[in-house]
Amino acid sequence: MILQGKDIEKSFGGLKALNGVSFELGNNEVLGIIGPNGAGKSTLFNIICGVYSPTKGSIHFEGKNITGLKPHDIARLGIARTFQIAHAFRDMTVLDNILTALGIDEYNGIVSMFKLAKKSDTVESAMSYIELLDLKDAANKKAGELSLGMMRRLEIARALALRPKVLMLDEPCAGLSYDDADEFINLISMLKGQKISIMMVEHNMNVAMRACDRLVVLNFGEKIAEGTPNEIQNDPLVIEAYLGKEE
Amino acid sequence: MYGIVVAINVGIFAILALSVNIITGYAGQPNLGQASFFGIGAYTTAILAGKYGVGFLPSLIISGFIAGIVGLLLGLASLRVRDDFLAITTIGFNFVVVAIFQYVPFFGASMGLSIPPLKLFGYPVGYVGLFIIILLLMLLVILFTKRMERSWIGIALVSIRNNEEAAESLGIDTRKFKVISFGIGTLIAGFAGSVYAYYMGFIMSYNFQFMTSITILSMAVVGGLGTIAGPIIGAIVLGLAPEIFRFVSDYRLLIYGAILILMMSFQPQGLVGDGSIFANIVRKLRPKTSGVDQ
Repeated sequence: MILQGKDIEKSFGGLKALNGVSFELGNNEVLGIIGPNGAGKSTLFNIICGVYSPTKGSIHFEGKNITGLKPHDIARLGIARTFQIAHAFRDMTVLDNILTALGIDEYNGIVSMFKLAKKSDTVESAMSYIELLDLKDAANKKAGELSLGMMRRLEIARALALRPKVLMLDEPCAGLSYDDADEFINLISMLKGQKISIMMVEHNMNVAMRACDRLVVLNFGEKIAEGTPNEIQNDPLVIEAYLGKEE
Repeated sequence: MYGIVVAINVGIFAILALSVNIITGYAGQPNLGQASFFGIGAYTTAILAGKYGVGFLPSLIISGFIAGIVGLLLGLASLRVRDDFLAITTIGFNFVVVAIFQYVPFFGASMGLSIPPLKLFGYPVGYVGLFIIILLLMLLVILFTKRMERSWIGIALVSIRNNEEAAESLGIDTRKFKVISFGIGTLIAGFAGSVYAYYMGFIMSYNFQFMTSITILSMAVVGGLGTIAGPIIGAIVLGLAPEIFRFVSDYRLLIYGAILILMMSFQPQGLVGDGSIFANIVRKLRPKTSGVDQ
């Protein structure tokens, strides 16, 4: 087990977005968080990444309590994330977007931050992530000129350039075409082969069922089911909360 | 004589435009109060040189650092606010600083402060000498900005300008870098203020008003934020416009304003900014390089 959440509770004013949710992410596992709109998926996601701190409960990464750490600290520990709405650095080239992640060890020191960024080995390393996500032709394009599918790939490449142990994906397939989503599922199995544990929030049931080893189902801020995609598919509570409504 | 005075003015404003460019151009933090740091630098020099007889170099350096320290504090205070609210905070700060210069007797209040003529190694330095000093200072600022642009801090600042949340998710402490950008940008404005004080020989709070902040920012914007050539070209264009259009002296401000409006409508990225007509021509003419530093 690499990442664990214990009894996480989060209230926004009077609204309880999460109520005692626990989860465990195993080593080299792909865990999906699913649930209808407003179930608290993104809130849980943002709590893990340090954007919000939980009202109650705790997050543990490799056995260490990381509750309440800032997002940049969490990134440095080895938890990388992507965003639901594409968050590419639009004025920067694809290459510079990836370089930003490669500087993670240099941003702390006042001397090291003035070191030149575009050394040939750093650029080479950035190019390897660009090639991995099939963005080579766009390497010198401004990120703002990319299509949505490419921007999502760029964000994944950028997150991978942090060399994370855990990759958190927030609705990676939102707005993607069927083919792009298919390609994404291949990518996930490829990353699994590289010993990266993945946690993803996904709205698209088809993608979640195919990409994930295990699913946690949230509804109204509570965990209502947990299990393999097969188990979840046949869980009457889930069908009632989610699948039943969608059909 | 007249030429050199105009050149000195343009040079000082070019340094100021380069200074606000680090905060607003690279880090993307609106700053409509840069004249206050220009003023803090000038008043520090006026007090050090005028009241205590401190020499040029120590006055220059101390003035920069005092402006930079106040800038760091404003940067820290600004962490709680963003965008429009930050812009308004910096405007407010400008008014507070001008009011302090205007009403506190130590700062000469409404009488202003005078600065003895600049001497180096016992010799008086005239306008030409002053202009050379300004050019040297500008060269240092350009070299520094170039280095910054190519190193990790430059990448961090531009990433913050683009998307703070994403920068944070890549291990960049956005709060720290915003404060650093304020510190550096205001330090440079402090240097400019110090030289300005020597050049003017007499300063008043009036010189560092909010309007001056607007002028500084306009120069950076017209030239192209986030570039090195941009603020310098902006300072030359907007600095010379009032002189060139002197024959229509009554309408000088009108022309100034019209340049701003036209630029924002047709070239919002500035004269030499990314994607401007000029930048596109240069890109076509220049052979492709990989941009890798060895």
